[in-house]
Amino acid sequence: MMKKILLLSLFFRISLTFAEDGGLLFDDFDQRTRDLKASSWIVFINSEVMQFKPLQSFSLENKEIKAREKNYNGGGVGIGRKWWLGSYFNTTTEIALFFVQNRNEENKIPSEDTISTYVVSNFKELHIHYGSRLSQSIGIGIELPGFILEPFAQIYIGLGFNDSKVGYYWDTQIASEYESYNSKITENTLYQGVGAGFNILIDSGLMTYVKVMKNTITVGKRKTSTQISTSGTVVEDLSNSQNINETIDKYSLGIGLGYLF
Amino acid sequence: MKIGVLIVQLLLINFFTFSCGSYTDVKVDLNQTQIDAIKNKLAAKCLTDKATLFSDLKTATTNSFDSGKIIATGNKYKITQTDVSEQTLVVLKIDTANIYVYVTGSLTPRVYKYSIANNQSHVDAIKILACGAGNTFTEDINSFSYDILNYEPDKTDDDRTEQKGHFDIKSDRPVFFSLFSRTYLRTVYLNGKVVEDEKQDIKVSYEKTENVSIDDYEDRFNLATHCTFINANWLDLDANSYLADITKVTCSANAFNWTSDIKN
Repeated sequence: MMKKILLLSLFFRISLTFAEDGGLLFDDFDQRTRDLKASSWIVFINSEVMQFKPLQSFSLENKEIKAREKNYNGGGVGIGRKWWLGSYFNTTTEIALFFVQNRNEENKIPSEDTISTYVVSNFKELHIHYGSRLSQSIGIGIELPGFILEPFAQIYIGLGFNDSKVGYYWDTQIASEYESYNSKITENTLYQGVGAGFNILIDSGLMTYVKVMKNTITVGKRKTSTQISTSGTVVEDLSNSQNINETIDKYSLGIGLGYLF
Repeated sequence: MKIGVLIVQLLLINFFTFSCGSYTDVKVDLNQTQIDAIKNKLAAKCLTDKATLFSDLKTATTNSFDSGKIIATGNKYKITQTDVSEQTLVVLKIDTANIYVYVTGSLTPRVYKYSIANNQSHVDAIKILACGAGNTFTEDINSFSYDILNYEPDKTDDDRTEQKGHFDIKSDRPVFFSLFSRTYLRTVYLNGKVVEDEKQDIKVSYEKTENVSIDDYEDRFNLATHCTFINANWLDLDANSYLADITKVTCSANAFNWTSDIKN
């Protein structure tokens, strides 16, 4: 968590450096004096944290996990068009692609030095979510010295895909103690949601933004493949495909940089 | 183009912000049954993976019994070991099947008969030792070496003996000579503390000093105790490293005959 806070701080720090120095890294663009309140195209790139709840759960002799809320991290890219509606209001249409994931791995190693090269247990999980969103937002441009602060509200729709894998084994080379769990769940999802945030626009055409989104996600088709073994014997082997039609609400946070042209 | 720098920065920031995930190693305590099972597994895998290496080592060391190899009849060697008086070793005979060596030093002189069967069984013993869990070894057939870490009765016992050893095995000579190319540290613990006078850093090495006429050794041969190896355990760290003290051999007077065994 601290790492993420530091990285986000770094992200903001660099963004502010652009603003303070009039675009330290953007001499080419510093030469331009532009009207930020003219309609323009936008390209952007962002980092994003999204809440999700992987469904895998199991309880075995040496390991137990429950379906629990996780933060997926990633980013996205997009393009849009901003129209100014008078001096203060504007509206923006954007299409974006995004990719977020949560990845963890844990190995259990014998404390006995002479066999420390052996991995007694491995737990690995990789949860991926990706998709696209089409959004429409409305904002208010507030002119401040050197930049425009632009609070905005946004609605959007989209498509997404979940790909969630969890693998685990415990193997001490004693057959009666062996246990394993392997599961893969894929889902198709539909999105709708609302978001709010603010943009900071500077003369060079650069912008940075923060937004919070409430995602209402409807899970459509879900494919599940799960196998559990204990004592070397498969005790559960589940494979199915279902139409779920289940709706869940999840929040996400996006921080990005963009360029208006 | 400064825009390029920006894009790279953005990508880097995005990459680092992006979750690369977490990776952790956790130590777990296992019981002795589990430890033994894992040791067996690792050793079996090593033996399978390195089968060619050990096969080549066995072939090469067996072939080294042929005449004209590095070890030749009449070679005299000086054996030195840390804190122990010198021994001498004379090769009385080496042929395609056996090598006879005369050893003298602080204890009763001995003649050892070392056969290619002994050699092969010792390579098999090296396989087990080198592949034993916790041991490491090089994979160069010309200069094979391995390290051993050994605890008796086990690592957690307050009263234990800890032995760390390094063995060098040359493929161009019988494994017998590898006995004289090793180092080890032997540390005795009592109540969890090192017993200083039982801490030994030992180096065993041999060096050829001269060629001698074996005819000068007939009387000494007849007076010496004659020994054969009974198993491969003498390569173990538990075996006494000093050749004259080796107990894992069978010894008796007049077991060998100067005329039929040496001069034949």
